[in-house]
Amino acid sequence: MKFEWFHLMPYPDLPDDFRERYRSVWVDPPPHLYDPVRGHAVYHEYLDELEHADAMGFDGICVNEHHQNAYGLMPSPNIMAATLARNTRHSKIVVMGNSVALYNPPVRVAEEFAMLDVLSGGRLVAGFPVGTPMDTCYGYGETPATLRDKYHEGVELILRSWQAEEPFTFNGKYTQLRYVNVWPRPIQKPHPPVWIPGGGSVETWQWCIEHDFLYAYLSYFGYQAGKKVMDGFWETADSLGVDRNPYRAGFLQFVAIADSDAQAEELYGEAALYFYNRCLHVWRGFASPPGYTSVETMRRGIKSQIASAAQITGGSSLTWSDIVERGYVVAGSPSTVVDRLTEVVDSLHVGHLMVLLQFGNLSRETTMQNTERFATEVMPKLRDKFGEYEDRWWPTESPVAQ
Amino acid sequence: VADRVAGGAVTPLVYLHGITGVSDDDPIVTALTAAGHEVFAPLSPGFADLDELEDLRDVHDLALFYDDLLDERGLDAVALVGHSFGAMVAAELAAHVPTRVSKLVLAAPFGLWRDDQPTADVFTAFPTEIQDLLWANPPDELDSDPVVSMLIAMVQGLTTVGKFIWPIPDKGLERRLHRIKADTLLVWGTKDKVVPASHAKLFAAKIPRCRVELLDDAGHMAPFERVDEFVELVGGHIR
Repeated sequence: MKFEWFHLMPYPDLPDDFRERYRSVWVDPPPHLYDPVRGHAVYHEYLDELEHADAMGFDGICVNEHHQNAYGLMPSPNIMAATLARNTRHSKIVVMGNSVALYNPPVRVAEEFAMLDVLSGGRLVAGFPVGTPMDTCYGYGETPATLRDKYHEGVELILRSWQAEEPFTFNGKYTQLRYVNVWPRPIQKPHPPVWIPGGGSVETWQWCIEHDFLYAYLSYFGYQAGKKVMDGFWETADSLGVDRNPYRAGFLQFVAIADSDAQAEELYGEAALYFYNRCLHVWRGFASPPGYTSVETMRRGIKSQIASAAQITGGSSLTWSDIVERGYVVAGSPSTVVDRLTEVVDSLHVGHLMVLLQFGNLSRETTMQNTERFATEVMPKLRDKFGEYEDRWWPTESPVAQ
Repeated sequence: VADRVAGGAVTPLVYLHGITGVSDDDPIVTALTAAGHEVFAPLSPGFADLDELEDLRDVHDLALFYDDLLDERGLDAVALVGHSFGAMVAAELAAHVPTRVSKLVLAAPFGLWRDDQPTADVFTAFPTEIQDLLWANPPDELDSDPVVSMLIAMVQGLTTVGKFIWPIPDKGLERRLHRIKADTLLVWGTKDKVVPASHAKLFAAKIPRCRVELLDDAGHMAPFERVDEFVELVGGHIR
């Protein structure tokens, strides 16, 4: 097993009545709710937490990209990755990732990721998300009908630019460049491992498997809800004739460790409710722009999509027991957490477990404790799982002395 | 592209539908036909099959697509009637190929933008609030729960519309309107919540020979809310 410590970098001071007063945490949350002086402190706390995860022996530390989002304060994850590259030595730096279609031209992503790979001594994992509708279609004005096509073209251009031995010309539908020639060159050959965070569409699963990319399902709704998606992924792997190597897949899970199951609510309850009831308060109008989801995917799952959008925007507020019982957050004593995470990785068959140990407005102190307890009391118990498989979706040994 | 040709042979006209598409029993086509017009009402590419949009990347491609289509039909100088998204396309065709259009009727066209008179974001209103936006007085039967097939039909239509007007419906039409040669009638519902009726003045200021008819107590679906008046206005204009 590998364990990656994932930060969303939420703004921790949304007002108690945020849900009642404002329509969305994303796209159009009122600018005045952000205090940049508080933001300064928060960024440094969050970077400290990621650096602590490196010190505690996590395999990877993850940052991601969101726009106009009060629970995701990293419009540029590469800036955070750059500072982490300087202040960490062990953990791989998983940028999860750059929404390729938003960069013009997409070689910007190839360049910045190459910079990060060189700066970190070959520790970069390159994530290429399509990006949510809120980030792409509303925040950045991308046309839903062409977003995926543009994304695929961009990924093709980036991978080619990393591997080409000569400058080349790219005559794409969305990008035309007379001279493509990325400097610096990534340390990792032929290129850094590519991870694709995606929703549950057959098209994405097929694409990942055919290109040998890792597929990561980043759900906020835990392993019970994620089971159907990961089953679909593995069935697709079977149908394409590849092995069920668990390192082909990653899964995101919230985890909250305490002395006892009862103490978990005391320590983490407020922060979990802050996340699920305030941070996920996304206006339903932004959730499904026409053309973002393929008609085929809609045909297969339209009801559950609408249901999940409604769930996010939510009628009634969630309680701590809802959150724990439904498996959104795996919470409790170390032994409870080990048991449940064993169930998670066995039932989903995932070799990369990305964990959210800071969420909502969870304090730095509790986050640090959660991180330490995970590293010392949980990780060792699960470490040897899937030892018989080779992880080909991970940075190889670096030629750079760390 | 699905064809819908109906009626006798009095005054042939081409009808380009709005964001809700055009059906076999479309009330506008039916009423225009009943009024004695021969109506050609093609379904927009993309509305039935999104793959049709593959080579139609922007409004220029779309205008020339219709120019080709009318060529194939042997329709040289047509009376062209458009509603909503279709009215924008009609204006684009008349601006791209002015000789193709002899008379032009534009009902509540998209295509222009003013910060102080914004068009509604119909995409965020899909699927739950869009009916309230479209109509001044929504018909009762639209209150029933939407079914999957209807949602898919609508999502395909709005995906197509989005391809050409996302994120705001200003793709340069204002710079081209002066090229329109046809006598033009603008029809607008005074209660249009999608494209404000104030845009009539903006269009009229740029189209050389143009007049405006406002329909009281009608919304973006004005032609559907006031079918008889709309058909009479069209008939009078293209006579």
